[in-house]
Amino acid sequence: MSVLLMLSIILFVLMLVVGGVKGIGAFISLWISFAILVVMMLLISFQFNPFWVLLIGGSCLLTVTVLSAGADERTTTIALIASFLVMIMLLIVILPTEHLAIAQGFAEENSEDLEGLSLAINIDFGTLGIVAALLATLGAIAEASVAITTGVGELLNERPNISNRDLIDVSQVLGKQIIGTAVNTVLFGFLADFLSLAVLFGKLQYTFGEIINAKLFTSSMLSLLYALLGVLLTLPVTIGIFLLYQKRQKHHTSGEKL
Amino acid sequence: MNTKKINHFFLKILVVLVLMLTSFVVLRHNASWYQDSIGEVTSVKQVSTKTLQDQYGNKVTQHHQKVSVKLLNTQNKGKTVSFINSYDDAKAITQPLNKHDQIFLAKSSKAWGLKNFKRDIFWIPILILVMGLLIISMGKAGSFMVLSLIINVILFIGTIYLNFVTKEANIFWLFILFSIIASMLTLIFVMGIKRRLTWTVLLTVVTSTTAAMLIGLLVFNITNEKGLHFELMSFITQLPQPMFLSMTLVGVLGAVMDEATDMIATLFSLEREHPEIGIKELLITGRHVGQEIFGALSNTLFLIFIAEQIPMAILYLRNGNNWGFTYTMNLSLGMVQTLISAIGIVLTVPAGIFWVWILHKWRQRKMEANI
Repeated sequence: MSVLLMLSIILFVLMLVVGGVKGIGAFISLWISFAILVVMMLLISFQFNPFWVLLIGGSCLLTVTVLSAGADERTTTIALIASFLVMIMLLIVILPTEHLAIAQGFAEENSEDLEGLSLAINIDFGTLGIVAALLATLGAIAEASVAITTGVGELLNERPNISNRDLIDVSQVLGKQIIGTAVNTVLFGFLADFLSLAVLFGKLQYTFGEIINAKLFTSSMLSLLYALLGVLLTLPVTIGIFLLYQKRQKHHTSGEKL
Repeated sequence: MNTKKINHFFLKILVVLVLMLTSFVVLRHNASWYQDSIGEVTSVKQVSTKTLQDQYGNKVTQHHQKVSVKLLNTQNKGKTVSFINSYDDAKAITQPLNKHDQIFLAKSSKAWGLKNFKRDIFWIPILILVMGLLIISMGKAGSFMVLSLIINVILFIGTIYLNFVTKEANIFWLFILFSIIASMLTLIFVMGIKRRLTWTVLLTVVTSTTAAMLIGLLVFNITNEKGLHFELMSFITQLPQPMFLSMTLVGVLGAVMDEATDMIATLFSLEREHPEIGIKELLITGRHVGQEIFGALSNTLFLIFIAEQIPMAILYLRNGNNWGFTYTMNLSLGMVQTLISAIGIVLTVPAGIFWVWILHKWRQRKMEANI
């Protein structure tokens, strides 16, 4: 049995035991995400427009992650709209920055991995850099958005007559805690990605100046910053969408009463 | 008062924007801080283009441009040099140069050439933006968060440094130490040193990550590492297996802290409302919180670990490799890392419930003894 298969079986059993039916949902969502990524990579390599693949695939990944929480309809709707908006906002930040910082593709540190490969392919690595940077942020955005919406929803269920002002204040307090822990998830995830590169920089005795200008360092750093920015943007956007949704619901019910 | 608050908010945003602009201007003019030669491109002229084709159907245009660069530092300051820069449309490793670009230059025998771009100009302003927004939107908690980010990064660098001092003896042990110290400091920063929550979460984090790593190691042993190719890891300069384990450990740490904090905070508030709570209620609530979060957290880590590999995977596919080979070469280790992390994320639920229960019992016994 291969390592991957055995770990998958262990994960499946644990998710089933700890999470019941919902746990199986989490397990399946992980593999659906994997399948979406595979399809995206194949489509890009078949030269479909990478931006459309990114937008459609990214939306699918957000949907899968939000659905994996198994929350009620209101939470799911709000979290989906909010995380989709944050994705678009991030893309607007990433497009010019990636273009300016020219941190796409590979550097001489990769030379061992690149042996025997033809680098002159039909696809622009600048675009691929944008795809990779945006995809890395999506999980964190969806997770934070679901957590905030669930929290605010519970609050609203406990105190249905709370005023909008109070709701904003209380959800800010709640959101800050969620953002605080989500920031750590992102930081340690990226530190892990960066670990082997950091050891290599040390081994090659790069100076401080060389490190902060290195292509691979810059691209890792920017990916981390985009993900942090995404998580930060999630709080105001989610609360905003939540209020709009409430307003519409109220209109709807008062309309019915009339 | 509301308008005052809003004005205050815009003032803070303005400060961040000014800081960003300042850093940009400073980094455009700080060539003298560097010992390597830095130059600014003064003119670019396209010399020739030609089309390249390979056996996999890739067709790219290759360009040659003649660039003049004015040196900005070292004893050659003020001198203008020129060279030919070649690049292709894929821009995998080569780059077109534009007027006003600042670049590092290298001199080989007689001719000058492009060594690297000056990239700190672009990411440092973004760093200031993100840290600024963090502090503005989160207030005091935001400042603490920035501080804990900085401390974690310093600890990380320190651990890498220790790896060299100890002659690369065992990087995994060093990162175990790092993980304990980093999670302790992070939790203290977020929740305070004296709170019961901090220490319960820490116990949970240690328990579940240890269990996940042990399960991973056990599986490696039983299967004889079948299907694992540590030698395929990028940037490897020392024994790859301890390196892989270190990456897995560090990667899962944040997610487990995130989950444990959410879950245990909920359990504690339940305990406050019902002091006579039994293990059954704790189990139900803990599971409920865990179920909601562990799918999303596993997906978060999965995307962080895998996204980075996408450019390389596509390069493989465009070089006529089939999907299976591309997967093995580029994605299989990331998947194993994701699965071990997901196991840690799931185990956090029982581990957290266990520690809350034990500490609850212990407190009850202490109170009974006092009476």
